[in-house]
Amino acid sequence: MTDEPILTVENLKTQFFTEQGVVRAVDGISFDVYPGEIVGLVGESGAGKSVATSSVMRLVDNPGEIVGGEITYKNKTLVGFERAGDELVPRDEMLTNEEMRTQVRGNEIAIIFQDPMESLNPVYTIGHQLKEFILLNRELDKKAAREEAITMLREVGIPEPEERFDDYPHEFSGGMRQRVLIAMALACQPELIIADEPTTALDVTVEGQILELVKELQEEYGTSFLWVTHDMGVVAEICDRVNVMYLGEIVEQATVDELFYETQHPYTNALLNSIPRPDQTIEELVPIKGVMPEAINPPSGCRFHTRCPDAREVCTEIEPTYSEITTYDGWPHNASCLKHEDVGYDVSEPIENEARKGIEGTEVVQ
Amino acid sequence: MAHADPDTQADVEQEPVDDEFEAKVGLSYTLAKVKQDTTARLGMYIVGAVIFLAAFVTIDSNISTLTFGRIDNFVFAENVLGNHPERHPPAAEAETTLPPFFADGGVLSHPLGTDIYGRDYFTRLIYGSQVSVTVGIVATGIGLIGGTIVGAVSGYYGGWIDDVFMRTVEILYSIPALVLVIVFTVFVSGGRPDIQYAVIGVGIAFIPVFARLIRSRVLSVREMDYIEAARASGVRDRNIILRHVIPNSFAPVLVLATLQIGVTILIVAGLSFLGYGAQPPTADWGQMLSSARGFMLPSPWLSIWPGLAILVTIMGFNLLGDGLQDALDPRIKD
Amino acid sequence: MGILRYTVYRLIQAVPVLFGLSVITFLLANSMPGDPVSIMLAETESDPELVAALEAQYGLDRPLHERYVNYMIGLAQGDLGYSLYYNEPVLTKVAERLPVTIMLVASSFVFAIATAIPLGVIAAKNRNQPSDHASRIVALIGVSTPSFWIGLMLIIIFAYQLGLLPSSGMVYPWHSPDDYRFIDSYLGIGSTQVGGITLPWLEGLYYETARHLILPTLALGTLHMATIMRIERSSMIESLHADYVQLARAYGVSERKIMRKHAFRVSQLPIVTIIGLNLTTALGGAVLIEEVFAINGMGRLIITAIQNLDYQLVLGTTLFFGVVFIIGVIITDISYAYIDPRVSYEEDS
Repeated sequence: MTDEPILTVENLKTQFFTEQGVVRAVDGISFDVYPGEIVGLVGESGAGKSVATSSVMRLVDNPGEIVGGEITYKNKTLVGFERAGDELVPRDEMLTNEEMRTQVRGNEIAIIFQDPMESLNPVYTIGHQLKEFILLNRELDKKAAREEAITMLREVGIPEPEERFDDYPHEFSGGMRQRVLIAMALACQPELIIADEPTTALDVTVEGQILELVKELQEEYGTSFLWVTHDMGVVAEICDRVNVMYLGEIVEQATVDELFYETQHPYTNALLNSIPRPDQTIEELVPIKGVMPEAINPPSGCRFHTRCPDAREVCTEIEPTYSEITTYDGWPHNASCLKHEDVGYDVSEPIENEARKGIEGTEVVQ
Repeated sequence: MAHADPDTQADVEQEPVDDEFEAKVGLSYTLAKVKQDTTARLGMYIVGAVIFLAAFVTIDSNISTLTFGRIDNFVFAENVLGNHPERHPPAAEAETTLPPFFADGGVLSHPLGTDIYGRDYFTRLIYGSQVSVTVGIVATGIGLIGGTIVGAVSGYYGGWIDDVFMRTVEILYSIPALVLVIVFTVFVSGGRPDIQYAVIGVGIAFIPVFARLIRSRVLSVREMDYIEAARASGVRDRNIILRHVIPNSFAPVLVLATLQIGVTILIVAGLSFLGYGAQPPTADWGQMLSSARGFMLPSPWLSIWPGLAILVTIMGFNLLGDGLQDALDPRIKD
Repeated sequence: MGILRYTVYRLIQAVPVLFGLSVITFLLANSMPGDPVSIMLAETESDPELVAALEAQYGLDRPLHERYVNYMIGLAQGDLGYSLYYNEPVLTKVAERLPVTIMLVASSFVFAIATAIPLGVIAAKNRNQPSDHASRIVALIGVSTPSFWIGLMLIIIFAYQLGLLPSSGMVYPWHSPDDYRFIDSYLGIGSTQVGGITLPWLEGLYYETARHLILPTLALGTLHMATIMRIERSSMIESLHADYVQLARAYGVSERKIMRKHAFRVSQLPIVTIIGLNLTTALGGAVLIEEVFAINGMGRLIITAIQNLDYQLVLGTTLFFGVVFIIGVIITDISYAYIDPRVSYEEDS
């Protein structure tokens, strides 16, 4: 692809300053999204995926704060710092909050949340809410906004949208509400939609329908998606490229095919082994053992070493570098694992950890 | 699920022990939490101070009664009960009052001044704590015990008992507690109201408050598997309530009771103010406000101090109750 | 079901409660000590024949259940009984006093809501900042202070020390200004001339009513202000963190509009409920406040009735307190159903 990426995230760091200490929820991640792409952001709960997406929208809640890195959307600097003495301070070209609100949120980047039951305001009709966001983000008058809302409701497969326009959210099922939220995102005509686990709260049949719908609409509108999920099955279904996150870091990044067939990181491997795959027949699913450590005090060396089945002595000491392993069809395949580095992994002793001791942690991957 | 049975069985045997254990751990844990919280600690100090004063005053008056036979003979009696018109000819004139020490004409020996009968207001105020604390604790106790019984029975047996209870509560809620208690006081005392009737009346009026809480706890516990199992294995209903439901309700009941003591003191102060609670010459804050009413223009401080005492005491119980709630239920802490 | 049918449904639902209320108040009133007839005859030599005649006249010689049935028949015909103390029908007395109490309770709720909601919103917005702490202290003091004492303090400050407002009494807007002509302190009423200019709003009956209402309103309303403020704060904090508010932010809605619309409307739902529930507290409080400010409302009427063991008046007033409360709860239920679309009219609330 020759296009410029529409979203570039470089070395993003977002931290939460709590009473217990500083939580490094997102600790230097880099990824990009090209026009018309669906990019996945995969990881267990607590890996920092949602913090990463709210950082892109600059909607991190107190006591969280973006402390470093660059986020560029087209030619706009959403996040950018420069050094002033000992401190990092926002650069001049970084958008103000007001500019973020009027120029980016909604009309350039829209978002779909995980829980459709909680994402719509219970005291306003869905038509009212749709219309409000359309009026805010597009140059339409009230009448046109209403028509646009109805058109979009029809597009996402709401039957009889004229009648349903004046219904309240509680009169819709979860799947229907998620459709409304998708309509809301598309109606604002953004170039990028961040979908934060939009199908997690739905049951499997509805999830399938929603994924189909998104694929169709994505082709029709050409919108890019940043798709956050913990489900490798959804990734296989919908994404073009994937970023795998573990404990605030991206550990592997590749196109979907590369990631599934040329897996480079043990964590990705573990994630893949824990789900049923239509392309492979395996005897047994292997859950990832142990629990993800707290981001407040991450393990030394490679952060995954406490649960990694391939962990060796050296993994506890040396922090792997995130680097390009191969290229496939012009796309890089990046990973951070000492296996691919010349630091003496092969001669190091395997270590006892949760993966080997066989401690059954919570089965974090469904 | 068949294989789940052994687990359930184990639960049945362990549960009562667990509950008691948790209740004890809960108490010390709660106290530790409350000590950390500034506002709760302030509440604890205020409540502690008021209870200490009340206890001190009670012991003091008992000693003086024992020593001197009749309470009137002791110096404190002169200050606290004083030359009430029922004992002596009235000397009730505003001129006989002294202002607080910081005002013109005030003296340090009567730091908060004297009332219209020349009694030391500070001493009376201190003695007022006795009535307030007793009233708060006794009335809340009546409500708590009555409410536990009514709520447990109503929630556990359900059916028509529960219906009758809920409907009665609904109806009683529609009449202000103050009015109910006044009617009750007049009825029970045969037209000569006094503090003890007010306390019983308020206690009874608050039975529904506790009964509702206990009932809802019973309803939620009743549905649990281990209760079903306990019942199936022949544990008696009364034992189920005593061993499972009551210990499980410890935390919310403690919070409610603490807050309710404040409400009780508030209502009884109102009753005394209207003349349906403590009667003169008892040193009671509500009653003192009632007596001071006629002298608000010449001696406004007579109306100020007792109200402040009520305010501080109730605030203490409210702070403590809020602190306990935060400590016991971290979900709603902010 | 439409809002109208829901209203009718709620009214029908209230019938058994009203019936129960009548039984309970009847029993309460009849449990009062003393014999109404001997109280009525008071000092006079009690003549057994006269007593018997009077008892027969008021049906007091009948057994309790029969008296209840008679009372209910009377009630159905709009007859609330007869006040022996006032020598007037109970209904007349209630009709005279009820508007006063409703005016007082209503104005104190208006005051409470008008101050508590903005303060609660500000506190939620500036959570854990000085203005939040200040509002929490105010709320704490508000719920811990006896309303009648607030009344006494207000009288001392604003009536006695500053001489700004009247210390007692009430001017009824539905009366004629002439009714107050002969009362010295009310000389201002009715004279609409100030410096040769007619200022009907400043110097008329309504103005006097407002002046008389201010202190009782503050005294009675403070507790409710504090309660509503606490709830407004926590419910606003909750809705400010709700997903739909986050979504509104993500779509570029301004913080101002979020405060005023997206988070605000949902956070009003618990307020409606609490106002309904606080109605009995307010009516009970009115008893004390009317006493403090010498306002002749229902509260004072009920106290007079109890004091004089005027049991039909006790019955009538208590019953009316209950009725006012039940109507209040129905009104709050209906307004709740009106502002919260999730409330299904079909279901039992």
